[in-house]
Amino acid sequence: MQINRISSSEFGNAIDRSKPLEFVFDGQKLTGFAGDTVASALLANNIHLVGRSIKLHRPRGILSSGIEEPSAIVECATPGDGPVPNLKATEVLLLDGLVVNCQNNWPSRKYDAFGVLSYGSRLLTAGFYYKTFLWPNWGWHRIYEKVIRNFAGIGRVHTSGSGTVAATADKRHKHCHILIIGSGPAGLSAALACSRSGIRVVLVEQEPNFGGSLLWRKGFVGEISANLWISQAVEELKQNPNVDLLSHTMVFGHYDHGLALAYQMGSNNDPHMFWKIRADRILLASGSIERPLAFPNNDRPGIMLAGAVRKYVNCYAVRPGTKVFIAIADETERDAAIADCNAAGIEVVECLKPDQEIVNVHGRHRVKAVSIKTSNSETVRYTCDLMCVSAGWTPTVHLAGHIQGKLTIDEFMQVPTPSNQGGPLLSVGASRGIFELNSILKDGQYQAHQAMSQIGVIEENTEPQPAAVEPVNFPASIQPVAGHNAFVDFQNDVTHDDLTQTLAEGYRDIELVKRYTATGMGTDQGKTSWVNASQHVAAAIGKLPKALGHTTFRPPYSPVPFSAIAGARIGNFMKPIRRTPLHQAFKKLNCVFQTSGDWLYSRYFPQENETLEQAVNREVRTVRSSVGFVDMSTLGKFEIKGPDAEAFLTRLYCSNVAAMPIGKVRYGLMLREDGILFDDGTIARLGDHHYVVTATTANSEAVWRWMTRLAQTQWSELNVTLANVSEHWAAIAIAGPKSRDVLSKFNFDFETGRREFPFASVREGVIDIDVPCRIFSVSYSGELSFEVNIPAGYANSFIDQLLDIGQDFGLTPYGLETLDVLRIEKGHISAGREIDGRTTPYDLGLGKMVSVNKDFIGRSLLNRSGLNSNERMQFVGLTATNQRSTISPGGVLASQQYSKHTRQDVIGHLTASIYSPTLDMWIALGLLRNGHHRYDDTIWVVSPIAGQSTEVRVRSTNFYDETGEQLNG
Amino acid sequence: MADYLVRETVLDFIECEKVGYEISIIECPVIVFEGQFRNKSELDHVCHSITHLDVHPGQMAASNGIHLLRFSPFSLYVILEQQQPAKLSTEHRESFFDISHGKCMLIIQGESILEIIGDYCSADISSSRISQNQMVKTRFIDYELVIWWHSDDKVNLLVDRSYLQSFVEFFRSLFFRR
Repeated sequence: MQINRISSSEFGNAIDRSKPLEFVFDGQKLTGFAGDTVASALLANNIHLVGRSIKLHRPRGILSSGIEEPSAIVECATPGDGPVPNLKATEVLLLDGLVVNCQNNWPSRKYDAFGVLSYGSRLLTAGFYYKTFLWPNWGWHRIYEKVIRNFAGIGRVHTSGSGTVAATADKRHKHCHILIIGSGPAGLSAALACSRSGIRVVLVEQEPNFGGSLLWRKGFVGEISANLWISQAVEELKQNPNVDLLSHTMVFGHYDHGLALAYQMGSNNDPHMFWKIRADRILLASGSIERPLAFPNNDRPGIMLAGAVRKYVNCYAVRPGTKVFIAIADETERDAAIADCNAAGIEVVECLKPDQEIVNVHGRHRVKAVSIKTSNSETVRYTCDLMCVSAGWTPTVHLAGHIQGKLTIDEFMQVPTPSNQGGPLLSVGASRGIFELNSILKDGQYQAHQAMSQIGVIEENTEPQPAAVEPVNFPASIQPVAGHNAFVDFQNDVTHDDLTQTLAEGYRDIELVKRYTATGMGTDQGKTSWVNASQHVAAAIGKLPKALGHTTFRPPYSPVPFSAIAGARIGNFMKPIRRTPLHQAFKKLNCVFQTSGDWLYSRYFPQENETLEQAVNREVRTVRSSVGFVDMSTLGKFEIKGPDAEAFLTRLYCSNVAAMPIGKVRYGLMLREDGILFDDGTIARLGDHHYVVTATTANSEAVWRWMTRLAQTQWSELNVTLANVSEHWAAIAIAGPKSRDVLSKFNFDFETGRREFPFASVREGVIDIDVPCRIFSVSYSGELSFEVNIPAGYANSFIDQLLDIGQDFGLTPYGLETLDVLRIEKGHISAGREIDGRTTPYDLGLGKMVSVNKDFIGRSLLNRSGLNSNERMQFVGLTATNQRSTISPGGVLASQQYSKHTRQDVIGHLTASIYSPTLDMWIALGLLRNGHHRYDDTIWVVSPIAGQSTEVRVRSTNFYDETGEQLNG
Repeated sequence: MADYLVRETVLDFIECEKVGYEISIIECPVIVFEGQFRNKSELDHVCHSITHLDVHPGQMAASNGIHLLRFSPFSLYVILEQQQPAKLSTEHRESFFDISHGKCMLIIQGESILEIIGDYCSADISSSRISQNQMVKTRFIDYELVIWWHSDDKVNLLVDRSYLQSFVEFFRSLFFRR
């Protein structure tokens, strides 16, 4: 029974009485109407107590009617989905079958056992947790942390939901000339002005209905009623194809270059939506937020903001009480509230006078009476079940603060206003401190024309500019009353006394006060509290609020569900996956894949019931004794053409590129400008002015960006053109003593014999008459090896041929694991391991690769004495002195064995350690201080986490085929 | 074993169907050359010699089975539906790179498909400049795409080969969310 619902149809422009809805609150079946919020429906059912506060578990009701709500925080489960905690009852639209539960109480909201904490509120003051739980030492981990974690926070995330919201949330872009945030009188007036000029406009309203405060303030716009003006304006905008109207959509972040992020709350039929809106100009018509008054027990259920009471009455046809006591600072607002209460049949028992103070509120779960101290110090008690309070209005400037930094604190109103109107965002109406309706309407038109003139839609803004600030009479008449349980921040249980104590403890900067007391934090982000708090702090330390400043505004303006932020990027769609051209062929070969960066890479190819270790050992032995093939398609492949191609590469690589014969391949090192090794790869000369170079998989994109930047900006005088052909060519390395035999079976149009095609060569031709190919005789495995490049579309077909030919040679596919074992056995470096952003060619024993006869990127800084010191970490090989010992991956290098009680002197770290099937022992690579001069020394590989140490001998990095005979076949 | 190497596509023909609405995605093998020039007028001349039209930066031109997409004063893609190497004159061949196998062309058809794609692109496809040019190189959430079209219901896309499978699966998931 909705006993508080007003039957007259003059009230309730937000609800549809023809659509009754059923919902459940804390197990109780209730009813409401379509268009109701949870808060309005609860009030209609005469429920004021909806939750418990976070720290003191005080009974809390509904303070406001919008997203500024600090107290009425509930958990809601929509039909077919799991419960979502920490939602504001004032912003959740009622749905049929909605299940709402109150939070932070046990066993019930009325009889909450932890409510006893409120009696100890004098002990649980601001920052109490910094001063308690200090002893005994062991108590923190064993007791305090567990207890505090149980008490901390509000709401619990449930993982058992069906995930309907996550499965439907979507993320889309919108573009417009002008984005208007807010559809109150300022927003609508601006939208009409913009739309009539034919430009693209997006109008965003965070509430389900357009109209903003006009919906509940009623009144007249010109000579027509506010409701009629709204419906005419919205209708005109809807008819305009260039205007997008987004209701129930909150802009929560404002970023550079006119980017705004918005969250549109979904409904039964529409998905939750995350909008990225790019606009040439943004008009911020977000209005203002009402502030509560501070007085003892000002948090009791039944104490509501005046604007909220009027909104529940006028928009939802809800009478929140029968007898109201009114304490409103502004006279005009007070009169309007009295008029609305009278019209709704709410008896006004008394209004607070300027010379009076509220000294107490009676009633624990609902206001029963209020005690007033009169000017002659008498205390008078008034019986009431509702209090209307208002200390004034604060411009909603958060989005302006996101990008424009500091706001101006108006000296007269003592509230923040945007500092300037020069950027991509222009504030309009109440959000810049204009509160009178006609001025707001004019300001909407003026700022709309201002924005249009800034983006060149009109030549000049000829609209008359309303006064920048036309303040109403702000709260000098009613002062906050300090005292016990006079709350400033309702959500975080911060009282006036807490702020006073914080100042006494020396925290005077407003940012420190915020962090020490938690004022302004939480799901409401202090929308009703921070101005009151800063005014109190300023007054207490004798500063003007302007001098005190304000805390930093950051997105999101109000909480946004993670499901909306993620959109469709969940599960397998978390990020794009790149597949190599050999993917389909490898699937047929029972390949186990792994992600490596964005790539889905072949890891190993188990046969029958092989484990990873067994498969890798087999693959390694096959490559060393016969032949195997591996996918190298992920390497970066870049072509350089032009008369200055050689000059370009000479500058780019520190190794020698000059005088390279056509058909030859060289190993190349590329440095950063600071002399640190950037990447390594091969340089192959295909023609007079034509080269192709490779980059490591990890650095492929970075190298490409670097090369194009150099060619376009720093060396634009060089006549070269570059192309990234990484995706065009599939690359298959055929490695092993029999690799040339395998190669010779293919139908190439060039010779592949040892004499015609020696190591470090490249051949370009065709295979099977007309399929282009490039083959590089280079090796990463230490074996004779050929990297076959063919156009990616032919890759699977090529693998079929290769497998067929390879049958006679015992050919095996191998993956990333085996590739790593082979390169470690050979002592080759790898990006991310040895090329780690700190090492130089000298550190890695590649000093001979650095040309002394030319200039190249990184040369000057490479010659810094610090980069040539023997004290640097240098690349070494390591073998266990006991050949049966394992070498813990991830260990550090130390002079002594691991001891729990001795501090280790770390002299280096491992970059790789593996069991070598070829050598039948564990081997490792590492970076060791002065390592190149410590061959044959014995040191320790220490793993403090595993509590293990292994004695190892330092040696060269090349464990296999030191003379390089295998490379030449 | 196949006697000769065969060029394969990554995808098969794909249909997505929702109640009362459907789209189709077809992968078409194409020949793509990337042209890089150091001189704007040289590229102007090349564009004209291929299509007999003036193609300015940001514009697309189609002629006799050849699509020419010019991204900047100095770069373009030439897309051939069939092998037509003779169209690239010898004097300019040095400036072109064959990237045919690195790019996959998709044809996506469905009612208002351009608008659907535009919802996920960082570029403003409905802006007058882009809708006039009917071509844009943009980012579709995490994917780099080249998009061009002749009608709102049929759109051509060029996607990097390695991303194609992932892109199509993601696109389908987006479609089913709508």
